[in-house]
Amino acid sequence: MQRSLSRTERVVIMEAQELNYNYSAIGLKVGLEVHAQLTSNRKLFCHCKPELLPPHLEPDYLFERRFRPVLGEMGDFDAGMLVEFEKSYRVIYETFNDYNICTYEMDETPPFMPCMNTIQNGFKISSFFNCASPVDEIIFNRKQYLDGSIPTGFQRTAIIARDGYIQLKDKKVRINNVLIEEDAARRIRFYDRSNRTVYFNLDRLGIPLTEIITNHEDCTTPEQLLQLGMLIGLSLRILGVGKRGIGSIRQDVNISVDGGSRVELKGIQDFRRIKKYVDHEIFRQLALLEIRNDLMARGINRNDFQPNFIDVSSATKDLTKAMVAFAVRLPKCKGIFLRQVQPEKTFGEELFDRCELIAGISLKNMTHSDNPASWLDLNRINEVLNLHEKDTFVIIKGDQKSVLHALNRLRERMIQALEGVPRETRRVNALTGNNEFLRVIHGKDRMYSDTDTPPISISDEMKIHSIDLVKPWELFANFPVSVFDLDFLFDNEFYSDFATLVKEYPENTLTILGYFQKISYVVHQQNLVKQILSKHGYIALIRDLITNKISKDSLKDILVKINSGNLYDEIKDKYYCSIQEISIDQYRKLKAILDETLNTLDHTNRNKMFFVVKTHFPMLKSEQIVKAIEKIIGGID
Amino acid sequence: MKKEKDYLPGYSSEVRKILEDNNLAVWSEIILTKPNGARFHGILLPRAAFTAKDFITIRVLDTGYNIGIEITKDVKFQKVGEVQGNYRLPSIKVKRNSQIPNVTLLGTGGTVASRLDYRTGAVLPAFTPEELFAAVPEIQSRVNLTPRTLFEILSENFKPEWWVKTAQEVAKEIEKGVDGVIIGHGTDTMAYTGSALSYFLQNLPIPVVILGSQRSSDRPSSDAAINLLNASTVAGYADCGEVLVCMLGSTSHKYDYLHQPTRVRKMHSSRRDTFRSIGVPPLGKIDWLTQEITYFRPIKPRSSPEEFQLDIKIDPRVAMLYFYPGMNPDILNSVIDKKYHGVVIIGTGLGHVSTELYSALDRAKEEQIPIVMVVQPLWGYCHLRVYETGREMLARGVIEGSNMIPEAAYPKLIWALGHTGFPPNLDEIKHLMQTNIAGEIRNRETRFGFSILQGIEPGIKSIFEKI
Repeated sequence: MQRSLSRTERVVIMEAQELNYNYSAIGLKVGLEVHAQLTSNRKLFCHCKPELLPPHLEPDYLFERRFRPVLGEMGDFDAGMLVEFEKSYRVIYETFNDYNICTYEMDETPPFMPCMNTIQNGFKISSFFNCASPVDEIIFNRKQYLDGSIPTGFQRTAIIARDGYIQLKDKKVRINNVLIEEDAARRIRFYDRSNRTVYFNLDRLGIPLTEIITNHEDCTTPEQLLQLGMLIGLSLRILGVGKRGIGSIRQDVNISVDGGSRVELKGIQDFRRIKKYVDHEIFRQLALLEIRNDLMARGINRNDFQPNFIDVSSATKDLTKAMVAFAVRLPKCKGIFLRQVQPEKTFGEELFDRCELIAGISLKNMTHSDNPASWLDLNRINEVLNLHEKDTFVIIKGDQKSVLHALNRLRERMIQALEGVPRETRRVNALTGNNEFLRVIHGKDRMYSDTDTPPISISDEMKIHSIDLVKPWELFANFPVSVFDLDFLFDNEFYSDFATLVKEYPENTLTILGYFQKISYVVHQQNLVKQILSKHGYIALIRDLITNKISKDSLKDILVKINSGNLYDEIKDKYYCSIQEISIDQYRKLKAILDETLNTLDHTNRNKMFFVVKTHFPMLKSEQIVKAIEKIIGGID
Repeated sequence: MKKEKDYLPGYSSEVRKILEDNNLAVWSEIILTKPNGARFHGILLPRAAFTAKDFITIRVLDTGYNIGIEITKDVKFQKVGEVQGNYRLPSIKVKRNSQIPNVTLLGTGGTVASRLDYRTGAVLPAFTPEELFAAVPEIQSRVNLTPRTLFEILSENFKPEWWVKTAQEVAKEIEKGVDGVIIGHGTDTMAYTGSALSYFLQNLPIPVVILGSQRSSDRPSSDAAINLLNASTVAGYADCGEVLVCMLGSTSHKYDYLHQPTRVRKMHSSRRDTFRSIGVPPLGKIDWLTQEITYFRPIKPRSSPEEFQLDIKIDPRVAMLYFYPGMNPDILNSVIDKKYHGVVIIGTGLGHVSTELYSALDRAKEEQIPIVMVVQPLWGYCHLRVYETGREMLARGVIEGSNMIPEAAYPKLIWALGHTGFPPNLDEIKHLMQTNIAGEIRNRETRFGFSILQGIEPGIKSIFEKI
């Protein structure tokens, strides 16, 4: 039986039409890092309310900080952290009266003991995801962040358990780690990169979060990734620990193709559009690999990119007093900067994006010879640089320190181009589906232990949870339902009754789903109270529907009665009827009317046929009509 | 006797034995399997002191997280390899520049430049010049900084003898002709040391700037680098012949206040802007970005080196008591019995103690033990002539400590007794204690003195915003 697609499914499918890859041929590997806020009555390390502030509130106090990298536990600076430090942002925090920001969020008071209820929820989540290796002692770690999103400069985070999995149909997707950590502050104003100032609202900081990290090798199509993400989110809600609402769950995607590198995509607002984001990153990685091959074919090696930066201020128009312009010559690179690395985005733009972010020089002050800016005196430039025909150049203007900084970073990026795809964390742009450089991927050297919170021994009672809940991936694997259907069932409080019923009547899965869709329709139409109905339960009712003891036509009446306090058991007798097949005579009449009213083509349209029959034979039950129509269509076929 | 190296620091009893039996040491890379099937791959780390004994700490290899695992006899270990952490800041070449001032950093412990000790979880000083400059590279272009370690102690373990030692070391630096001295000090007792140095170092030809940090330098949000840089600039460039405390003026990383040590107090257990001047506005302020120094009050300019005096006579046999309702006179009596040479009492309100204590005060007077009274409200003066209680106390020889804060009064009595000897002439000690030596006593207090939220409070705000 064919089922029509839900609206959201159609949207997802329509949007994915642009790019299409043979994912197994390019060796796509994708994994997820799901960050989900957990329900609790306090923040993880202080006693503020774990709530966001109402919008449009004006801050009444601002304070400002700067950050420096510190050594990791093994004695190394994390490469990613040094790049963050180079950006040297001025970070401004907004606080709002005394709502839910205390001196802990301001990094002015050491952490209070962590919320043990949240840690317990962490173990619940681990059990649900089959984690074989729970830890015996929680040790909070410091994960450095120098972007200002956390005023301490590090996120307090702990591993709860390792080695879990989700069975995604015939594929086992490993869950490497389940973590508990504090959420970061919200960046509220888009910063002007050349101004080097970032604004954060501290309300979100410290809300308990779980991070669930799936193995990056295990998913091989965007479709699986979408299913995985939906199932993880749904699981947290089924467990009753996941917070709801916008921004309460955020998914970062790890992605690579054969020959490429692991790139982390952040800032994905609408996870259902994930295929588009994945496809655009595949496009980019494949394009960078092609560029690498091209550079190799031209015989370019890293020695071609020397840090010789030539002062071309005299060949640059409109320089103010404090500004200089420097050039770097890139031998044999002509044309490379115009190569497309993402839809509507060239390699040159990708490079300049990165320089802008790290060195703080605005895009309009950077140019290259493949598409020179109007502020260059090209004749003079060619004289000064003595370019060969196949060479190209980059010229950047600004204050000398930033210019040299940017050129150094550019040179570094060109050397990386010889390797293909650099390991980076990138932010997706929801409008274009493209992504842009955010930071060098953070390594494990940014981790060190938090001496402010003592290790917490975990008792067995806390660790072991026998959870009597049906795992959504089991329903997904064993019954013909989509992850969207499961989401629908859970959101309408049908989930556990549905799980019970499909186990009883596995061959009737779609019929059962159909009943629940009908119930949901009636609930909305009649303004019934979901909670009353779900508390009462649907199992007996749907059993009777499946076994033809009552007709779908009575559903509305029954639901309204239950909604006003009646028990199904007490009222069902009134609705019991025997739904028998209609008589041969009736069947002939019915067929004749259909032939009369409808043309032959319409004889395949069940809805239309149903409507006609229902008008002419109001005494028939829907089930009888459906059966008769099936028979007719079967006859025609 | 050479101490044998501990290969399992922090591990004891049963767990230590199990690790030894498996031939494991810290920094071993191991795979361990528990009876329930749980399996972990990571590096065995030293274990912090005072934590549960039955666990080991490992750093999980793929993510870099630390976790704790309970160890029993049935845990199976497999040793995979060996790693060694070398916790060092990358060293950089330090060039001396004859164009910029020479400043010496005397280290006493504290968290200005430090690294983690994984055994205790404590913060250890990292103090070679290279380490320091690697942590705060900007400093090189401001001053030629020479770090010297005096002590490696937490500031709560300071004793008056170490104030003397510190002052002597400052004097040595003055003799060498440096342009300024900065002292890295734990913040807990910074005000005591600062006050003592203010009495010891008279007619200073250079600034002596004390700094610390409220967020240790193993945190990205540390205030250490800012305070260090600001203190270095003040020490190298300011025309100031005083001891100063240089710490962040607000929760923002924007400017440091320069406080007179005899008037400054740690007023919050953890905030960055914990140091507040009591009874007066701070002396001045230094902006972090511009390195510009502004003064709110007149300061003493640098004296000529010949005028400098090191006055380090002390008598550390001094006690300080905090009076509380119901305080038994036993407390004061036992101080007298134990032959203390002087007592600072922090009294209620204007400087009162209960009538029950009168007999003990009488005894102290008989034994020529000076009692100096300062006030619990911290702001304002000790006044023993307003109420009957006060007059009773004055009659028993109690010395009014004016508006000295406790942190200034205690080292001052130590210093004063060092000059009078014991038993002192009570009039002489009273005269010394009531004479302003280094700003600890002010004969007038304006309304700007009582500004608790320095720099925030409306109305007071404007005077701190002169930059």
